[in-house]
Amino acid sequence: MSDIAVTGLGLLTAAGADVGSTWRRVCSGIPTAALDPLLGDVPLSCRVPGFDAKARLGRDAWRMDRFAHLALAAAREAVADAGLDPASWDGARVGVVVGVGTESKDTIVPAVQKYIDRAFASVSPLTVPRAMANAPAAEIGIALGAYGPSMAVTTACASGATALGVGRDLLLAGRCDIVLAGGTEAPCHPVTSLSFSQMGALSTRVDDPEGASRPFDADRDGFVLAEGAGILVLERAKDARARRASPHAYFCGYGSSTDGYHYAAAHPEGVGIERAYRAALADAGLEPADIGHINAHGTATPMNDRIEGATLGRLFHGRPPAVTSTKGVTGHTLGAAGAVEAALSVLTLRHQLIPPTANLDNLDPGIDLDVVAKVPRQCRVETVASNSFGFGGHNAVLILRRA
Amino acid sequence: MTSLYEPIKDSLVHHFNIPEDTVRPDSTLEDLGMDSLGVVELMCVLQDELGLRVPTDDASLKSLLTTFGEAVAAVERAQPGYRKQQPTGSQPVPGQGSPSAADTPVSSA
Repeated sequence: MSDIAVTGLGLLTAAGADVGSTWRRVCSGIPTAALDPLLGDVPLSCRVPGFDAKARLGRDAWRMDRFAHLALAAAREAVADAGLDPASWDGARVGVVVGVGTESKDTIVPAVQKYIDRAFASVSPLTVPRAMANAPAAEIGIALGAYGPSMAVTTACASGATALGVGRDLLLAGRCDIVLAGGTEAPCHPVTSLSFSQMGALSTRVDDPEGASRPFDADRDGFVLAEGAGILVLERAKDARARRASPHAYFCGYGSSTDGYHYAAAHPEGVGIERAYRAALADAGLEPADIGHINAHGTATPMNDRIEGATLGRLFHGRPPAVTSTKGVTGHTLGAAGAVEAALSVLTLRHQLIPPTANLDNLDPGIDLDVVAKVPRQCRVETVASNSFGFGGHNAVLILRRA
Repeated sequence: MTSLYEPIKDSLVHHFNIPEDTVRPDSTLEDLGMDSLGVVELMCVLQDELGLRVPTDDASLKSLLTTFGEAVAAVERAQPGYRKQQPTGSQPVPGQGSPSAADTPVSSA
């Protein structure tokens, strides 16, 4: 099977509005969670700092919701990083696959309110085209001239990872030559926050916002809502070589599965996670012992971290490699998380540096993992597995190899 | 310059990210980079932000060759106060029919 190269990265997270600033902040281990009075009963979030969509994206920003702003800015950064020029590429051979986990509320909630108020004539005509899940992919296609296959992928909090897997499959099937794949989410809206709050999924540590997102810690109590986007440029390795691009890493394995168990809870035995892992390992032609590091899903909900930890222990015969959850710094970007963390995994391979899990003061005694805490760990890493699991029981595992 | 010109211009510049110096009375909506859905969006913004009544059937707003000055005039004709200023027996102006639920401004809804 031909190798798929990662040749470009684009990131906007609460840790920074580009790849460099995100990586530095993530490696610092300093959390980004802060009070967010605009949200509902749990006023905590992680927002992208210093991002002016109109300044960065120009005129057309007016017609997009924030999840598309973030995705388009990340796509532009990724394409530039890959040394590609959309003015000269064969757009018909460029695909776009963008994961979206929930849905954009920016335009649709005010529209619903106007409907309730019977102010029909002030419902925006762009209510559907702004909010539709495929809007980010469509706007990237319009802005960059990507005319190949394009689509939204939605598997809740696995969306970004699933989108990368689907993008890789498009390349392996020969349906295009370049794919911009990743995920985006702008969930800092009271309705989204209230829904997760009612589920008991959010950290309620409002008196200590910085300490709220604490994956694998004994005192974790839920995740922190975060916005962000990650887009990766994928190409067949031989195509990247032909244009003298230097890959950041290779995307050598992808596995996906479905629990078929519950609409929100993960299967308590992690059977779906295990299936996705085994599929990804088989795809990459690797054994568990070949994996050098795991960028965990690690949301900091009590159940996720316990199930993920137990499943990794079983899969790796009690000796999983070093694990981190970058959500301690970034918060949980939902549909973007799989792509954000894939990009961070690529950077781990490049810099041979594993970022720490923020706020890990006391590892949950029920979790037997080597979790990198406090400071980044410099070590030899040849392969990384990045885990993403979503409501509905969607599981996706990506395996990346050092270039 | 008419009374609604500047506030409508401000909404246009702010909401649609249009450079202020390109918005002139004789700029066509097309010159300003608007498309037909953008014009409808502008009418929604004028209701939301300025509390204006917007014309729902003014022919001038169906064409992107309408100038910004003409579009402002169409909005002005739709305001409740405008009719009172008309001489008796003037021709009906599009957009001045009985208000329906559909064109009630949000501010009075």
